[in-house]
Amino acid sequence: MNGDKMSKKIESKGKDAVTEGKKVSGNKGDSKKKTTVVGRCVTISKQATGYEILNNLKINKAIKKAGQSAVTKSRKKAQ
Amino acid sequence: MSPDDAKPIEHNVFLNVPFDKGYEQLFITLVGSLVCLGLSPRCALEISDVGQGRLNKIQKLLEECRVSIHDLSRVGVPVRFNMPFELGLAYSHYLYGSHHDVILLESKSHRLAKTLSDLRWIDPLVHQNRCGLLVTRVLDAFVVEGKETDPVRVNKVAKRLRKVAEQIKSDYSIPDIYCRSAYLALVSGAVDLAVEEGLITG
Repeated sequence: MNGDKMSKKIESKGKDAVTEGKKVSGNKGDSKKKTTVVGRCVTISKQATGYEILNNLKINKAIKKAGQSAVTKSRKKAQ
Repeated sequence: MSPDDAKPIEHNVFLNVPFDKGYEQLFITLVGSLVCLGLSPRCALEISDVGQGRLNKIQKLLEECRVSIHDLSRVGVPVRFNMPFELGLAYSHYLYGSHHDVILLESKSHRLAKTLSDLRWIDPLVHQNRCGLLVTRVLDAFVVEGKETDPVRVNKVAKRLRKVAEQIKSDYSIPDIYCRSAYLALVSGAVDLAVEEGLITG
């Protein structure tokens, strides 16, 4: 319950920041077109999944295995 | 190249940061934090070309990114112009492109007002060269709708990722993480850790 309230609070902060960003851009006629933010918080509508992140960077199976192997080895070392 | 041709992917974040030994831990932390937020960190390390081809590819990469992060903390000698130059490219996307956000990082408060007075109206996110503070700044900079990201868990992932990076460097026999294959392995490791921590879905 408390978490929900906090989440809404953060969301509204994000929206305010986007609005402020519009004012800062300031060029006549641009304010309707742009939702760009400079130096302020950026709102992302949805998280990418791990698969999407790897896909965006075109990470192939060999590299993926190398990353997984490094995670496993570092975990073993820590133990 | 018309700005209308650009198709930025919402989750892509372009990193314009110093690729030097002193910045390595911050770079790994930045990559880990972005992955924990469900964002794809993109940077020039992905590009193997040199010369004009490289610059064109950086430009293309920027077009694919909705957001870019520029760390302007390297102001000493030897002077490096790459980061301000790429900030200029990104800023042109902000001014004339369809949708691009620019985030600035600095290690010291108020310095950017002197080093880049043209952008003195922008408050940079100051990290003081501290990894923990950088995580907080990155989480402050992004709001994922309907999701609250716990800084403690992100810090945990970042800390583990720094150890994973040491392992990658050892496996690849390289002195630093700044090469294409090692960087991609680092992102892959970050995805695994973030999924394991329950911050993103697989």
